[in-house]
Amino acid sequence: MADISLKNINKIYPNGFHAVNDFNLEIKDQEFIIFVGPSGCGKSTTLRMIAGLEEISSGELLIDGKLMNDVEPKDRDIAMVFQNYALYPHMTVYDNMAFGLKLRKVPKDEIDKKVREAARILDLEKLLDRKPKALSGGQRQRVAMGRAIVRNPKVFLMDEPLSNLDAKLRVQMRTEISKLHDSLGATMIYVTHDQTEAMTLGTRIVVMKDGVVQQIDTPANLYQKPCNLFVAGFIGSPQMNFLEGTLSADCSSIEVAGTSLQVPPAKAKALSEKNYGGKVVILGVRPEDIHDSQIYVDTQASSVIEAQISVYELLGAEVYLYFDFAGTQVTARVDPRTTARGGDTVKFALDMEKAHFFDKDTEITIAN
Amino acid sequence: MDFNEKKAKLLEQLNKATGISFEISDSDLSEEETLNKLKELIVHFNVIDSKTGLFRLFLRGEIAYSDAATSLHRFHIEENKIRQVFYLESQHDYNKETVSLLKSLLPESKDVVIEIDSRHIALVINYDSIPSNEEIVLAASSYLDMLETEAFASFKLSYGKPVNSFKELPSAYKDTILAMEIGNTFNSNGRIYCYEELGLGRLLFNVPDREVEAYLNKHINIDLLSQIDEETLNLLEAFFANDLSLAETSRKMFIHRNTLIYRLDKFADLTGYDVRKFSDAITVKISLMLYNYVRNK
Repeated sequence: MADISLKNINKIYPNGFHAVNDFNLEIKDQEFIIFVGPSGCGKSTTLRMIAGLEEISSGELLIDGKLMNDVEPKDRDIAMVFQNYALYPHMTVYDNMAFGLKLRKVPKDEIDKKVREAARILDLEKLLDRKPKALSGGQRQRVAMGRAIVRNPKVFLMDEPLSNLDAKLRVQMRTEISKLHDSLGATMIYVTHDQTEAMTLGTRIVVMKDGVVQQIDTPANLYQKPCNLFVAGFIGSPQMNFLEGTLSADCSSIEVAGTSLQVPPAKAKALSEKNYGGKVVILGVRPEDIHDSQIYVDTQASSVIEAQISVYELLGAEVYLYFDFAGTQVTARVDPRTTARGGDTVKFALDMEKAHFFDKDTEITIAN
Repeated sequence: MDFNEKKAKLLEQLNKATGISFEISDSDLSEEETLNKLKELIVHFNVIDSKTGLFRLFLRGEIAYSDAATSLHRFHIEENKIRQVFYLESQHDYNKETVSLLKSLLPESKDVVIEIDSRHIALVINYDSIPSNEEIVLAASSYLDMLETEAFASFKLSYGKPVNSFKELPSAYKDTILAMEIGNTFNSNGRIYCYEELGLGRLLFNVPDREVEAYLNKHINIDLLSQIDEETLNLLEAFFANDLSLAETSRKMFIHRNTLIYRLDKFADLTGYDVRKFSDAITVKISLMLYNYVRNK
C-alpha cells in the first residue's frame, strides 16, 4: 500500500477561483483519512487532484515518495468509488467487476482470481451471476466497491460513496467499509459532508472550509479540542451552542445575558494569560453538557441558567430541549426521564469544565 | 455566425467529406443559395453508412431533416420516440476507451454514442416515458462517475428537455451546446448543466460587452469585485441560494449567525449594497454573474 504526501497544494481555476489553498498533509500507509466540510469547501477538488482528474495548480503530490503531479491518472495506481455507482446493466455482477481489468488486457485467469477474491471479501459470491437490476441498493454499492478492489490499488479514493443510499443502509455500509479497510489494509481517502460518517470511519479527519484546512486530527480530538469556532460547530450533532458573553477582569467568570457563570480555574488561567480579561468572547457548550437534572443544578450552582423550553423532542434514548437564551436558540441533550416539557421554565446547569471559549473576531479557540 | 464564417465551416466539412480542398472564387448565387448549395454537396458526399453517422450529421445540422428521414427506416430508427440528448465535454482529448466504456454502459441498440470531435461526445438515449429531471440528473451523474472511475477521464455534461420525435433532435442538441457554453461561463466549477435551469445566465449571456461593462461600472465595478475574498463570495452565493435567510445560511455554512451578519456588513461597507434588502441582493447577484462572465471570457 502507500504513503501519500501533499505539499503546499493549490487549485486555482482559470477564472481566478481559489478552490484549494495551501493544502498540506502526510498520509501514512494504511491510514483511513476523511476529508470533511460543507459543500464547496474544496474536499472533492483535493481528492480529484490526488486522482489526477484535476490538475494541481501548484504544490507537490507524492505517492510512496514519487512525484505524481504529471503522472497520468491511470498510472497512479489508485481506484475510485463515487456516489453514482453506475453498473453495466447488461452484464452480470462478475462481468461488471471484471470489465475494467478486461479493458486493461489482464489475463483471464488472473481476472477470475481477482474477481472471486473481491466477491469473497464483499460477500457477493452468491450474486456473481446476477444482473444489476436484480440487486438491492447496498449490493450494487458493494459491486461498485468490488470494481475498485479487483484493481488491487495502492490507494482507494471514495467521494461520498454512500450519499445515494437510505439512512439505514448507509449505517450498514459504513460498517462494511470500516471492515473492508481493516481486511484490505489499504490506504483510504474518503470524502463526505456527513460528520457522523467522518467521526465513525476515520483514523484522522481533515476539516476544510473555503478551500482551507481548518484542522487535521483524530475524531476524539476534533470533538474535544476544536481549533476554532467553525470546527466546533461542524463536528457534533446537534451542533455546539454558542453564546456571546463578557469575561470578568480576572477571567474567573463570564456574564451571559445578565447571568454570571463561573469559569473553572484552569480555563480562567489560560484566558487570563492571553489577556482576555474584561473582553467579549464566544462561549461554546455542547448540548450534552447542559443538564436539567436537579442533582446537577444543585452541585453546579455557579453555572446555572434559567430559560423557558420552546420545544421538547423525544428521540427514544434521549431528549432534546430547545430554548432561547441570550438571543440564541440553545439545544440541550438530556435524559429521556426528564420531566421538563415545552413551555416549562427550567434551570439548566452548564458543565463549564467542558466549555470552550473562542475569540469573537478571529473565531480561534482560546480555551478548551 | 456571419456568411463568411458559415461558408468557411461548410467548405471545411466538404473538404473532410471529399478529401478535396474547394474554394469559391466566382459565383452568381446569393449568400443563402451559396450556403444551401454547399450543404447539398456535403450531403451528397457524406455517405451515411451507419446509424451513428446519420445521427452525427443530423444533430450538427449538416443534413436536412428531409435527407435524414429517408435513412430512418434503413437503420430501424423510430421517428416518434422519447429521446434525451446529453452533451459531454472533456478537458483534454479523450481516448477510445472512453467511447467503448460509454457503449458498454448503453447496450440498447437504440441508444447512440456520437463522437463529435476530439473533446466532445453526444449521447442520444431512448426512453419509454418522459424522464423526470431527477432521473436525467442521476443518469448524467452515473455517466460522469463511470468515466472517471473506469477511464480516469474527467468530463462535464449538459442536457436540455427530452424530445418526442427525431425531427426535434438538432434543436435539442443546440440547447445542450448552449447550456455547456453558458454553464462554463457563469458556473465554471459546475459539472452538470441543464438548459432549463440556466435562469438569469441565459439572459445575461446575450448582453453586449459594453452593456456589461456599463452595468458593472454603475453598480459594483470590477476592481471592487476583485477585492472580495473567496470566503465572502461563497457566503454571498450561499445567502442567495438560501433565499436571503440568515438562519438557514449560517446553519448550512456552519458559521455563527453573528459572523454572517458581520461579513455581510463588511460587504455592505465596501460596496454600498446590503444584500439583506431584496433590491440590493438582485443587483449584487447580477453583478457577480457578470463578473464571472468577464473573468471567464
